[in-house]
Amino acid sequence: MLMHRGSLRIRLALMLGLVLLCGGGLLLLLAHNFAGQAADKAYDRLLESAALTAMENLTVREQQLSFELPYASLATLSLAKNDRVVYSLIDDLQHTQKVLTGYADTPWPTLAEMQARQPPSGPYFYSADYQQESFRFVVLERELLESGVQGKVWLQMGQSELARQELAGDLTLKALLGIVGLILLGGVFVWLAAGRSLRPLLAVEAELLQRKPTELKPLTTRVPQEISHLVEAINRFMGRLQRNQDRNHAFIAEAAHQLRTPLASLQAQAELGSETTALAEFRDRSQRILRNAQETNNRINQLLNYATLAHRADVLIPESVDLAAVVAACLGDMGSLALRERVELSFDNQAGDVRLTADTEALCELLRNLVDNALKYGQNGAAKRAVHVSLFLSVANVDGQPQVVLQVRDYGPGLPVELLTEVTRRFGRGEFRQSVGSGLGLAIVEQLIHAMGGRLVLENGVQGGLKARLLFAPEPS
Amino acid sequence: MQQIIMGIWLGLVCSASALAAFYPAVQADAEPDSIRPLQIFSSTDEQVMLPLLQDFQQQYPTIAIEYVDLNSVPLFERFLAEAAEGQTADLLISSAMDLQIKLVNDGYAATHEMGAELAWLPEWAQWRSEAFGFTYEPAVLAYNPQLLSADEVPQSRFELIELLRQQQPRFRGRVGTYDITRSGLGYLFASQDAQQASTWGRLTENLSRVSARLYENTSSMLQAIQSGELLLAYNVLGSYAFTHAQDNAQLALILPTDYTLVMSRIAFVPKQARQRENGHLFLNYLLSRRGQQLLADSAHLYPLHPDTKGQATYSGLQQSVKDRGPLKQIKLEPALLTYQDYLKKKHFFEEWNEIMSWRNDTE
Repeated sequence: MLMHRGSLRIRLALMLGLVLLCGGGLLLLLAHNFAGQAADKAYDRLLESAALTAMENLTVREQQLSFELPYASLATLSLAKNDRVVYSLIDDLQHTQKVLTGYADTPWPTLAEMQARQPPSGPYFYSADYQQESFRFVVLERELLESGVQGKVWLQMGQSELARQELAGDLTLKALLGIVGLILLGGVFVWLAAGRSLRPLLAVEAELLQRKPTELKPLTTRVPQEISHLVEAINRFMGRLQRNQDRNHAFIAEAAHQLRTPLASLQAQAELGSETTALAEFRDRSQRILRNAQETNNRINQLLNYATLAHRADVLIPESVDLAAVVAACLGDMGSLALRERVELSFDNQAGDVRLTADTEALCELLRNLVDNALKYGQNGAAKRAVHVSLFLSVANVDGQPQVVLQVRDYGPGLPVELLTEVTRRFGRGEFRQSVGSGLGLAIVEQLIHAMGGRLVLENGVQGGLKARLLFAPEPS
Repeated sequence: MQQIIMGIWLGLVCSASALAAFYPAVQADAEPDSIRPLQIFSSTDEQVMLPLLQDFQQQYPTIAIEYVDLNSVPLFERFLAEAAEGQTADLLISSAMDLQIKLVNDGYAATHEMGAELAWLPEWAQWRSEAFGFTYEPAVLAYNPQLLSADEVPQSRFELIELLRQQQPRFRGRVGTYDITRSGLGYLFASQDAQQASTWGRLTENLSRVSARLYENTSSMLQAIQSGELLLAYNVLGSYAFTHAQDNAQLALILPTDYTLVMSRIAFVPKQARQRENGHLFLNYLLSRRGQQLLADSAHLYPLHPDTKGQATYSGLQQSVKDRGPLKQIKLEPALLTYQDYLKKKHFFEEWNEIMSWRNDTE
């Protein structure tokens, strides 16, 4: 079981739940605000009506202000059970602001605030603290225009805010219940929706589980856009696996085929050898056995080399390299081999400094294979025992881009024209195999150069010999 | 030793009021430190409350009680004076509901924790969990049955007005009522009468015509009736009258059939009380089943509790007015402040004084 980091469903549900909670909180804030306003509106009406009733009872009698607080006024305010009431009547006739009756210590708005009220002649509402309790006040203004009594009178009426707060709290609570219900419902929905949207993943899982271990065909489950990339990635991965598997199968079959014949031959020679008594014949058999063993050994080496390189082609680590330097270093390693074979090995750089994006090891392996081939198969009846390695730029191709060419040339018999393209297939079949060995080398070269984005071209020289050319696209400078 | 300490304490508190009665803690061997005084300002007669005070001390033997018996207006004024100085009595009991609610409205009362045991309390009998009504007492017409024959007794205000108008000489100087300028309860009843019905004006005019005598409290009116000085008295406190009428042939009472005002004694614990805890304890006791039953049995103060038994109870009163007329409960609400308005009160007094001054002219 893989270690897993949390659950997608829970993650989704949490995120959406968070969104729901935030939304709910915002809604609640709004509801609270609204409830407060609604409560204020309702009780402000009560307050205003109480004040208006009282203001009605302000009269002018014999050029004197007369005020009789009506019972209905405070009785109206008593509708808000448990709320304290205050009131006060101020006479500003001589701009002296004298308290005629009521509470003298209540908080009043400033004249400027009063004058700024809207509408200008309407009631002025405000909240203020009185004796450590929050109160809501209304001030009514009345302009007296009687004979002898001219000026302004203000009537203030106030009420503590318990009933308002209770109403607002009640409204908020009801909103809260609704919002909580909505959040719960939303949560359930989110949970279900999260489960539902993860269903395609389960379908993919089911399809993978149902497969036979060897089945590496692309997935066919139809999935939503969001996870189609995942499925594509899986499919690509499986394609790689498939190719690998195919290659391994072919390799094993080929290896078996390639080894079975020389081993059978070895066995036959050894049997014949063991039956003979003549020393000369025995020596002859022994030499054949030795040749066969050497050839088998060669093939095994090539097979293993090929396996390593074939693997390498899948894991190339490209980097910017100086091609000439790499070629020089590689040839240096092969110098002793050429010397042993008495073959002249030369390197000639006509391209100057060329940089490539390539895997150094792979490049070296390419060169080694080509040189190796030239040493082994290019010296029989050669015009001269030499292998020339040269580096030059090709004539511009169709793209208008010259290509870098790394050429290995020998002066041997060359290849029959019909085999020029055939040899590069892995383990080229036919006569070529008989004369040039396993043919693995060029197949490896072909595979590697292909993986590097280059090309292998084989060509017989006009005066004989084989030209093996590697074509690369140079690094844009 | 304890006696001396108690004496000093008594001296200190008594210097404040000559009317105060002191009840030392009943647990004689209590540690002096544990003795906590409880000061009650009350407009209820001390003798009436005595059984309750004693019963309370049985329950709380370490609490000493100072009971200051004041009329409602001086009580109001003295409380304000003490509050201005910073410290007040622990419990205020007054029948002047409007004065009490004014004090509570003006922020002098502390919140009293209302437990589940107060669930029986009617809505109108408490305000802000600060002021509590604990009685249900009617304003009645008291008369001397030996001087006023049964068929002469006025059953309603209309009949009373008619009687006074028709037999002016007979009733001259022999009708009593509250002096509303001196008695808070009298003013409460009068203002409620003025508020409730149109009979008030004619009634005061006729009271004035017969040169009605004005009293500061119910007790003195009841005494005057019993002595034959008065034939009848209007707006007498029913609870007191009931107690006296039970064993007195000179006194009887009726509940007016047009409407009967019902007031409730209001108690609250002031914020600035010296021993606020004791105030809450006594208030709890007043509202407890035990306290309420004792109010009915010994004080005849018509307790509010619906389960109390006897005639001087809420249910007893409801029973006795069943076929008579409506009971007008004076609700404990800020509307009562209306008649405490400075201009309104001044105006009301001026009118009253003017009407009452006529009697000199007619005499």
